[in-house]
Amino acid sequence: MSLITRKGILNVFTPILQTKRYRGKINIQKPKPPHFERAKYLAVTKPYYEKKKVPLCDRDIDRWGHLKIENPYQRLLANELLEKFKSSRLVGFYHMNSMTGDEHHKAEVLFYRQNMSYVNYGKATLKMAVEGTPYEILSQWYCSHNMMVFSPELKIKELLKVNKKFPMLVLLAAIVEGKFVSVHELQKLSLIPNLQDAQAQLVQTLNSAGSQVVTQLTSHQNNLVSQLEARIKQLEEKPEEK
Amino acid sequence: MSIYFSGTFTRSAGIISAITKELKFVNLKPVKKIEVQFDPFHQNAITVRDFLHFITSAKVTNTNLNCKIKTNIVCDRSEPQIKIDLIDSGSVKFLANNLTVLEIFQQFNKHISSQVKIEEPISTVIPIKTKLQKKLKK
Repeated sequence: MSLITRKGILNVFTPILQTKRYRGKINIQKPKPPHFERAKYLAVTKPYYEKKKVPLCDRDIDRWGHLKIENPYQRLLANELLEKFKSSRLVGFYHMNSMTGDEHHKAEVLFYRQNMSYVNYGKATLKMAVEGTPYEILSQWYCSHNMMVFSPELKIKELLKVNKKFPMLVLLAAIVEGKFVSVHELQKLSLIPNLQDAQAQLVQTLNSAGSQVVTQLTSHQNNLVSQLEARIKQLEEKPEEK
Repeated sequence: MSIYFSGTFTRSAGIISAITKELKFVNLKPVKKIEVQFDPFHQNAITVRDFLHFITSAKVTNTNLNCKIKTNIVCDRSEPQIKIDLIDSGSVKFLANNLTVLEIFQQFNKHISSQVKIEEPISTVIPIKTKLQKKLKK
C-alpha cells in the first residue's frame, strides 16, 4: 500500500521549463527607452566620477615624472651627434635667420660638395649628447635658432667661402681640432697655409741658409779659380799674336 | 555699489602670439640700416638672436627692400645691442641686456613703425550726379 501511495500519489514531477517569448525580438543595439519612472531612477543612480582638477598654476609641473622619460630615438640622435663631434676636425656653429626650404637645400648642397654635413639638432638632444663631455659648455649658449656644420677635414677657407653666399647664416663660433675658437680667430686661422705648405716653406728656408753659407765660403776660391782660368786664356792668346 | 569688471574676458594666447601680433605692424620704411651686435657667449644674447630671426623674415623685409640688416659678432662679453639708423636723421639704439623680444618690438612699433604715414586710397569713382544737380550746373 505504501508503495502504491508513494509511486501513485507522492510522485514528484520535475517540470521542464523553457522560456518562450511571444513578442518581438529585443534589439540590443537600439534598446527601447525605459519607462519614465524607471528612467528617473536610472538617471539618479548613475555613477558620477569627479575629474581630477589641476590648478592652473600647477598645470605645467611635471608631477608624475612623465616628462622625464628618456626617448630612445632621441638617445640615438644624441649618440650620433656626439660621434660627429668626436670625429670631425672642424665644427661650425651658425645662427640661423629666417630661411626658406630651398635656401636650406642650396646650403646643404654647397656644404656637401666640400664634404661637410649641414645639420640641425634640437637643444634637448644636444644637451643629452654633450652632458659629461668636454663639449658640455655648448649647451649653455646653444639657444634660439641654430645650424651646425661638421667637417672631417680642416677646410676653414672653404667653410668661410660657402658662408659668404648665405648671409642668413651667421657664423658664431667653431671648434677647430677640439679647440673652441671665435669667428675672429677662425678668420685668422684661415689665412695660415696648410701644414704641408708650411713644412715645405720651412725646409726651403733651412736649405737656403745652408746653401748661402756654402756659396759664401767657396766664393773666394771660385773667384780665384775663375781669375786664374782667365789669366791662362790670356797667356795662351798672347803668343799667337806675336 | 557693484565692482566694475576689470581684466580680460579671454586668457592670453602666449608670448609667441604677442610677438606675431607686433610683427604685423613692423614697418621698415623709415629705416636705412639695422645693425645687430652681440656676443654669442653672453647670457642674454638669446633676445637679440630671436629679434634678428624675426626681423629677417620675408614679410618684414619686404616692407623696405633697401634696408640693410647687418650682424656684428663680437667676442668680448659685451652687452647685446641693436642700432637702427633712420633715413631722415638720427638713430635708435636698443641695449638689449634687460629687454625681451616683445618689448623691443613694442618700442620699435611705437617709435619707428609709427612714423609711416598711411596712404589714403585715391578714389577713382566719379560721383554720380542727379538730374537736378546737372540742371543747376547748366
